[in-house]
Amino acid sequence: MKSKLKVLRAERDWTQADLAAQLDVSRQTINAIEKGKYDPSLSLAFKVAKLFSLKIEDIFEN
Amino acid sequence: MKTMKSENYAQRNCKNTRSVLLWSFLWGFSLLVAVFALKFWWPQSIAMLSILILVHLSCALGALKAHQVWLKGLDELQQQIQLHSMAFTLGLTWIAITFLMLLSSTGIFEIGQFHLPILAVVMAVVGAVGNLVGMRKAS
Repeated sequence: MKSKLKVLRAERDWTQADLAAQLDVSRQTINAIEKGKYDPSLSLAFKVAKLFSLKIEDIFEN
Repeated sequence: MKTMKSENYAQRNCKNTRSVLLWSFLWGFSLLVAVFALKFWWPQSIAMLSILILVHLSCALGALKAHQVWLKGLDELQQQIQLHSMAFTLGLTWIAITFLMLLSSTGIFEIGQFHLPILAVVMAVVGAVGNLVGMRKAS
């Protein structure tokens, strides 16, 4: 699954650790999602969408 | 930026990992004490046997609970890695046990009491390898 997480994070000048902190996950999880190696659960996807004030489909795509 | 949550996640993991290590050590140590005490110090004492078994089982339950708390404290990716690692370990253990039972039933290999600790060590090694593979795949 592709995601715009890296772009959105860069726009806000956040590090992976900063984003991980906001989402209460490990930095490794953020890295895996950004690289497309891990598809987040719906619950985590909602958290990401809420954090960036966007829709899930605006961040993640197949 | 809110950095408190990250510290909390890291701190929670660190605390839970320390708890797992402590309880696992206590569990192993209580087993060692029980074996030595009953073999060398109080070989005929039913009272000591009862106390040592009770202490050992309490430590085992503590270790089990600590592992549960640790697993629940992990994020979803880490939990997935642990799940795959445990499934891998369990699968290989079943294969090893059935294979050894087959060898034992044919008389080629005799399963002795001393094989159990070896099996436990092999399980630990397989679990660690499964973890490493999962971590590498995710990074």
